Amino acid sequence: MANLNTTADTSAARADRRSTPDVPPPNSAPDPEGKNKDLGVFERYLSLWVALCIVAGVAIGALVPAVPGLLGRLSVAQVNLPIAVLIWAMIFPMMLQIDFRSVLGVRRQPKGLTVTLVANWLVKPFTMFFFAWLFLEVIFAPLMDGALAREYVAGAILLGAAPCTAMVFVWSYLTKGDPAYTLVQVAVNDLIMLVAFAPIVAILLGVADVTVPWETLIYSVLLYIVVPLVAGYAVRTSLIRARGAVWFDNVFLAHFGSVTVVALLLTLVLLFSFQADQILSSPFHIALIAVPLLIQTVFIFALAYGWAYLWRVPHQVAAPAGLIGASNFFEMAVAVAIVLFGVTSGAVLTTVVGVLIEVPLMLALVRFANRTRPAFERRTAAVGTAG
Amino acid sequence: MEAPAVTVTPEAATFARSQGGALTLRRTPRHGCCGGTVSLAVVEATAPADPAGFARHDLDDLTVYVEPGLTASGPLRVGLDRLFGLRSLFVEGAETTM
Repeated sequence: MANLNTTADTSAARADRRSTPDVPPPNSAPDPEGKNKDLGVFERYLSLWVALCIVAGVAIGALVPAVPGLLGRLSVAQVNLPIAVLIWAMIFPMMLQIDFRSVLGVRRQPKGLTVTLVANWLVKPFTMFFFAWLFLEVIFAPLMDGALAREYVAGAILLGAAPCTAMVFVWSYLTKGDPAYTLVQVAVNDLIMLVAFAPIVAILLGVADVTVPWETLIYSVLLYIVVPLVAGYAVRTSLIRARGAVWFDNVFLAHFGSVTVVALLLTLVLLFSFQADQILSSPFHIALIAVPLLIQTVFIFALAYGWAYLWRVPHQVAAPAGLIGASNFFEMAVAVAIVLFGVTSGAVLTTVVGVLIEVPLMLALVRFANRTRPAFERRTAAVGTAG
Repeated sequence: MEAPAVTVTPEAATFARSQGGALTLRRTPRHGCCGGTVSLAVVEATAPADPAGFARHDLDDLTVYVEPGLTASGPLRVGLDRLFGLRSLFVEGAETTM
């Protein structure tokens, strides 16, 4: 029998909550280090499946070039239709899951949200550009053509301008993050992305000396952010109204559970079939591209997580706040890179390398976050004692 | 399994009453783009379309339905967010499951 009661929420108690808004919600499950939480086999070895897709794609492109040749001609208004369908199959299910009512919770964890927003929108896009430029155009300059390096940097800019929107729920779960906070930060980030992605990309591409027409950029944002977001919201609200939220979550959304991953892997096969010549002529470029992406991921996590530690943000908020910026919305980066630069461009290759390194790197950060949880708890407890 | 304890703030209770007096606490899935699905707790100010299978608890004029799979080691806390005149319920303290 549940112990159901309304809280004795006195004005003093409410005032206390307002004065310490970052007090963690009750969440004292066993397994304090999160050791019993882990990804399934498929997700854990995603890099392996991605690598196999790369091999399969390159093999198709090299051995049966008629296939990418034919698929490449299926384009309308700079949009390759097979890839557009697959990318929509990746993005639309994510948009269906966004519950914008969560935005109303922005005041619940103000410190955590400040860390998230500053790291994601005022730092991440610019450090991504900086690391990509430093390594690909300066340090690795003798190893690659300058124009190609600039395309790689452009791809990195697209990755840096879009924070993770779906996988962060899994990272948050693995670190025993506060799910209510994770919902809020994802919804707020998605709203900001709607208006900030295009200007940030335009500014940084301009700094990188990469010229893209504004209308093409806006077109790609409309096609792969605005339209899926609006469509997802419309479908979500209308179906919930018609059939109820339980049916929507447990029946309708369940159909999309594996669609995103299958579409992701098929997209990779297709993209690498288009990129076969480039990969075969300089396969080590993948490793070179991975260097700045890896450094950026660790840097953004360290910045947000370290700041949260210094600011005494509870661990269950600090972990998802650090992980959301470290992880990228690479589906959208891939999509926009294709529209802006074409399927055979270096920019697309960079965005795909982002997929390749994502899971193992994020799992390493998850392990770090779990190992450092006691330090956060001691620091938060010290505040309680001092206060 | 015993249903977790639930606390409802007075603001949330007032809001729930204004919406008909029912609260549903249940899990909602979030699919990761690289695989993996986690279930998060959500709260709605409605009764479930099919209440069968939900644990039902009455408190004064408030009826709370709790999905059996919803777990928490401490009490679940239902509160109310307000922003620019908009209001939305939230629940804290539930365990996320995969």
